[in-house]
Amino acid sequence: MSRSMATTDHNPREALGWVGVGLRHPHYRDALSETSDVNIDTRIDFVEVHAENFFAAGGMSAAILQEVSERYALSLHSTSLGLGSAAGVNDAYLSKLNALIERTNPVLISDHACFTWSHFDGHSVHAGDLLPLEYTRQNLQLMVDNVDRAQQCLGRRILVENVSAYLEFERTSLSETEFLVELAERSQCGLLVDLNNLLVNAHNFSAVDPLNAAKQWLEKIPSCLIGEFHLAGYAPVQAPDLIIDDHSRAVSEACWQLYEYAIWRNGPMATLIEWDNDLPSWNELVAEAAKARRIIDAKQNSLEVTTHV
Amino acid sequence: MFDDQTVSVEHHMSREKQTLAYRQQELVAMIYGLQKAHPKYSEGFARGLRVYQNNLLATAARALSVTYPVVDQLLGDEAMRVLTRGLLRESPPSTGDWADWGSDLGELILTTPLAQEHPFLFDVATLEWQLHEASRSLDQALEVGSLSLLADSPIEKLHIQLASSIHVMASDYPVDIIWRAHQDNDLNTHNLADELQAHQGRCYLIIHQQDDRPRLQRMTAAEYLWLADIREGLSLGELLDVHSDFDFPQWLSTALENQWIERLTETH
Repeated sequence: MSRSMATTDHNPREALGWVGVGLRHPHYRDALSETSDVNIDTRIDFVEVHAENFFAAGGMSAAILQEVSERYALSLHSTSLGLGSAAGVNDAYLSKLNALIERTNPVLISDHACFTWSHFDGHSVHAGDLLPLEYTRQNLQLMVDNVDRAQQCLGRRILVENVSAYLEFERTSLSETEFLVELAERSQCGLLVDLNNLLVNAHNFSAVDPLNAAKQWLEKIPSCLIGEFHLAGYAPVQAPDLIIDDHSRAVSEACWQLYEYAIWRNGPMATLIEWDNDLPSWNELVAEAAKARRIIDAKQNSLEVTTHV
Repeated sequence: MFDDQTVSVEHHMSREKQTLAYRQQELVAMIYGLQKAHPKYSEGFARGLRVYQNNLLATAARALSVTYPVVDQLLGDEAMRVLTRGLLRESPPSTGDWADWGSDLGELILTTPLAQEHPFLFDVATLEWQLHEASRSLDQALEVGSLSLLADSPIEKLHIQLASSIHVMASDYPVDIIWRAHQDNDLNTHNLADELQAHQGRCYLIIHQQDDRPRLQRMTAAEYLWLADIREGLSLGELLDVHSDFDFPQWLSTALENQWIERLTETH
């Protein structure tokens, strides 16, 4: 990386054990009027926003984000870096993301292990979704190059998230975990492990025991590479329909079980509750965050007991 | 934008990377409905493809409804979905930010029977896009010191630099009335019909950002032409020559109050 991590105010380990929520438009007022409370269960350590929603240099969204960033530590989650795109990372997009990072100094920056860009007739076209990758050596090299370029340009370490996929490719020579681990080791990025995505993929690709399949997936990721967990729920469907990762429900029971396992295995990690559609009240969202905090606290307490024994 | 000949990749890539780029491009083309899934693909692949196609359409339709809330109300979900499909094909998103997408909706409407059914629709779409752009602009505060040029510089060399958020438009329809009528949930269609019936002459509008919010104001034809000539780059001296009856002091006061001016500049 050309710019050193020392140029930023935030240490990537700073957010260890923090709990946050995804901040969406209908909750702005509640989030900004929240007063600090002695009740620890209402505490939010950080909020995550979708970076593209704040690319506009001026106007109300920029003003709101400024206010939000004065109250909360911020995580910028982008969806269009397209780090696995053979067409490359879009320069203009990278430039806007960089400008937003400079304005807000986020504690975490993340995007996805997917492709989003293609070229048609010489024009850059955005695919409109997080499209799955063929897990091959060739794609791995391409993604290492793209992640390196993004990190150099942004001057920051980024976290790369495993995605929900609705297609599987025959042309795959690595497992997803092999691909992500090697990506993180070679590019020095971190991993954002979306536990809900693990369950969605396990359901959609016919795992007999999705929770167990997701646990086995997690076991293949070294703790030192994980920078954050995402937790979410989804609308149930009837087979053979695919489950859509729609973030329209409270965190599922299976996802909570997987999270307990993940924290037990990896220790406290930055954790985010994602809820993007059919939004609950702010209080309900914060209550979900409190559940995650209790699981982290239990792990921390057990670590302290172990240390003192 | 898309046509059958466009599936090509960059020439500077390695052969392996080109092949990968081609496969990724093929998937994007299938999602956009430009290319059918080859029979070699399984039923599972087709099911997954439909998920991406539905996601794309839903996300794009949602983006248009945010940018064009009044057009959305006027046309309803079904017509908007048809327009969304057409716009995705004609002008696919290219920046990664859905808020940048959709500027060509008005032009697309003109190619459909909707333009005959609702002759004011193109102008409403234009107004909404301009409001959307004004809402995202970075407006600089007035450089107050530059106002001293009014006293110190010859007006032939003096230029007015407008705020970057400003748009102006002229319409044969009272699009501001139509737009405002759809801001409330309790739209009174009878009153709106009466107002449309009573409307005479052209409607001139200025769209700008004030206090971080987009604003919409009516103006006179003289003000519209004055602003158009400022944007053409005429100096203050030339403006006053062309618009000899224009009340510049009054307009300047209004412009400063509404934050329409970024600064005065002097050319050398």
